[in-house]
This record gives sequence, structure tokens and C-alpha cells, in this order.
Amino acid sequence: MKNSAQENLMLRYLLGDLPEEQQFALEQEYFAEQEKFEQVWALENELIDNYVRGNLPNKERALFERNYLASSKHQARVAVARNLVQAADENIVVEPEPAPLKPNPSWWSNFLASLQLMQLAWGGVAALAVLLALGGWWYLRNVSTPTEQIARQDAPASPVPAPSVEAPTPLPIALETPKTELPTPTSQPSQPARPAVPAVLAFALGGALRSSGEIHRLSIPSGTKHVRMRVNLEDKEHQRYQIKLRTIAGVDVLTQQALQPFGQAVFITIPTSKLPNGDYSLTLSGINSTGEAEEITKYFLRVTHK
Amino acid sequence: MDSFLSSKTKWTLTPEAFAKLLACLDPDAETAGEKYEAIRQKLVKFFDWRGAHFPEDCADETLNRVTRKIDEGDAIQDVATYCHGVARLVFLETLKSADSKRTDFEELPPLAAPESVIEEPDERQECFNHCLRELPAASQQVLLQYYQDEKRSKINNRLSLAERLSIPLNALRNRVQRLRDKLEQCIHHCLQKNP
Repeated sequence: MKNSAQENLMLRYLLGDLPEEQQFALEQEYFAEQEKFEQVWALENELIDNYVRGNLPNKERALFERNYLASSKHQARVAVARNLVQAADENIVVEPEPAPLKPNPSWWSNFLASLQLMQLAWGGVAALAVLLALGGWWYLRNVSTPTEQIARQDAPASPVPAPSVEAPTPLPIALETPKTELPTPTSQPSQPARPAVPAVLAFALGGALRSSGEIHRLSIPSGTKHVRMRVNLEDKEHQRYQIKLRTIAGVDVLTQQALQPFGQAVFITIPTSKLPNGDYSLTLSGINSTGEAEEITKYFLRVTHK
Repeated sequence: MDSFLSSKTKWTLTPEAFAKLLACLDPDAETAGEKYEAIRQKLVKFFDWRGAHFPEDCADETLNRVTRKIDEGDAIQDVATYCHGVARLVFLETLKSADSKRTDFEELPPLAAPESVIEEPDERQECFNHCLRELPAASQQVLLQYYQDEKRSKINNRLSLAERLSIPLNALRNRVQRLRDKLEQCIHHCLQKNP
């Protein structure tokens, strides 16, 4: 969020922290100027999203909870924002693949098209005859070029190494096998296979190793944009949770406050750009009824990029 | 809605009075309609940001009062600014009304939990999924991509989205805000239907 004076004014307005005179002046401006109105509205959404993601500074968060959330409509809006942010983060792979070039119609497609035209006249018999002929041609062609077939078989099925989570052996906790969501393959058999890039790497934490000092190893394949982390909860004692990720040197990487549990876990999505090679600590806390974070457990992670 | 608004204004909106309001906004009927919608939206958000319980009703009451003034022959130079002035009065009335209805704290029944804690996550999630699916596929993608990521990558994301759609960034922002608003309204109705 930009911190220009104007935005700061709008922010204070939304947080109910502006004297009446300034409120009046800002309202006059946005009633007169559509663009100003759109800016305040956009800032409201940013404010909500930052709250949901746990990115609001303490002072703003306190104002937000005291003033903005006093309205039941606003509470509902924040609840929708939670769903929206979660859906947006899970929908990471939206960068559309470049539209495949439309190939010139081949003799084969022309032929199929003409078959469709002919079908009323010739019916299934003619089509069957053509297919039989083609089948025979294909069989002869493949039998006559065995080396080419062998070469195809020798080619690796997938050029991408499967993402892995290396854990200490033996692994005494249920560490889920990471799941890579790959884009739908679009390449045609005749084209060379393009290396697929895993966009989201799923990773799970939780179980008996909590606070034991064991290091969970997270290997991130090249090209992965986000790590979707599931932190399992042993018991759901709190309505909200907080996750704080720090480098082992204590530098804050990411804090997500007011996380809502889904089932027996909470989820965060971390851009891999925030996870350079190194060691990290991840602290899971529960938010108690007075809004304070009570530490539940701490995990240690070693991140390596492959 | 609080009865204070209807009790304040016995006047009833007529098609003729509404036509006068529109004519005041713009000589072209279509443009006047668009301007009316824009003012109404600002009024709704004004009441919403001020924390009014029924922003839509307050906005409509404001427009009724402005229309009445125009119908009675008052010359209004700038309808939007005038609406803001009337809206402030309406808002103050809602506050006074709330004050007059305030009960001693001790008389209130105990609440099991603060309102913010009472939630129905599954229903809300279902309504969210349903309402998201109601949007055209392209709109869904725009909405989801717009809100992806944080900080720098979010900005880059939005820039590339605007570029792909061949629209300026602020036009994208406006489009997404309306989509989000539509989604919120749909979820609100969905939750009301399935209490």
C-alpha cells in the first residue's frame, strides 16, 4: 500500500480515525470526483485484504478491529475477503499459456472434412474402408522404422524432476508427499515436449515433531512460484491462528494473522521469492479471546532451490 | 429499516419527480441514468463507510429528499454535492435515532459470543463457491488473478493483467471492484436464502 499523504488520509477515513472536518472535506472530494471515489473504494479493499493476510501494522489493525469491524456489514465483507484471498491464492496458475498457433489445415484435416461431407453419400462403409487402409499404412510404417520408435521410448517421460520434500530418516511424522499442480499439457505429440513448470508446491507440517528442533527440508523446483503450506492442528482450541515465518537469524519474512482453520489445519501461501535458500523458523500461535497470540508450536525449515 | 426515515418524509416519489431529477443530472436520458447510478453508489458507500446499518436505505432516503427538493422547484447547481449535504443530515438522524433507542447496558440480554465470532464458515464457503461460479469464467479469472499475491508480485500481476486485457490499470481496478461488489451481494443474498 502506498503511503502518500492522500492515501494516508483515505486510510484514516476508512479506519474512523479522521476528525469530522477532514472527513467532510474528503467526502466532498469523492462526491465531486469519480476517480477519488474509486481510490477510496480500492483502498478499502486493500485494507481488508491486508487485514485478512495479517499484513496490517499493529496500530491500523487495532483501529480496524475497533472501528471498521464494528459494522456487521463490514464483518461480512471481511469474511468474503477471506474466501476470496484464499481462492485467489489457490488459483495461482492463471497466467494463460500463449495461444497455440493455429496450424495450417493439414491434408489429414482436409480429408476428414471431406469425409464428413461424403458421409451421407457413402455412409459408414466408405469410412471404414478408409480407416482400414490408413491402419494398414500406419502398421507398415511403424514396422518399417523400428529405430525411431525405440528412440521415442527412450525419451524421458517427464523432463521435470518431481518436487520432493526431504525429511530426516526415519521420518516419525506424517509429512504429506508434496503435490505439484502442473498446468494442463497442451503440447501436441509432434512438437517437442516443453518443460512443465510446477507453479505451486504443496507442503505439510504437523505432528509429533513439533518444537523438537528437527529440520524439515523443503526443496523447491526451479520455476515454482508459490509454496502452499498446510500446518496441521492437533486440536482446534482457537477460532483464529497466526503464523510467523522468520529466517533463523530472526528476520521477519511473513506474518499471517487471523487465519481461519479449515478442517484440522491452517493454510498459507508463500511466494517462493520470499524463500531464498536458508533456514527458517515457522511459529504457529493461537489467537486467544483477548486478541493475543499464544505460541503453540515452532517448526524449523531448510529451504533449497533446485 | 428504522422508521425514523419514513416518518420524516411523507412525500412520495412520483415518476414525474424522478424525471425531473434525471433531467437535472443530464439532458441525455442515458447519461442521466448513469450519473444517477454513480451518485447512488457513492451514497451507499458514504453510509457504509460511516458505519450506518442500512446504507442502501439511507441512500434511497437521501435521493428521495433531493428529488423532492427538485420537484418543489429548488434550483440545484451540483446534484452530487447537494446529495452529500443531505446525506450527512440523514446520517446524523440515524445516529440520533439510535441514541433514542439506546437501552441501558444492564438491561440487555447476555450475548453468547461477540457477533464477529458467530460464523457459519461452511455455508459462507458454499455461497462463495456458488456465487463465484455464477460469474462468467473470464470475470472469475480476472477477479482471482487481481487479488493474488502480495506486495511487489501483486503489482506486477495486476500490470500484466491490465496489459493482457488492453485496459489501463485504473479501469481494471474499477472493473474488479464492481465484480467484487457483485460477488459480495450475491453471497449476502445466498446466506439470507439459506439461514
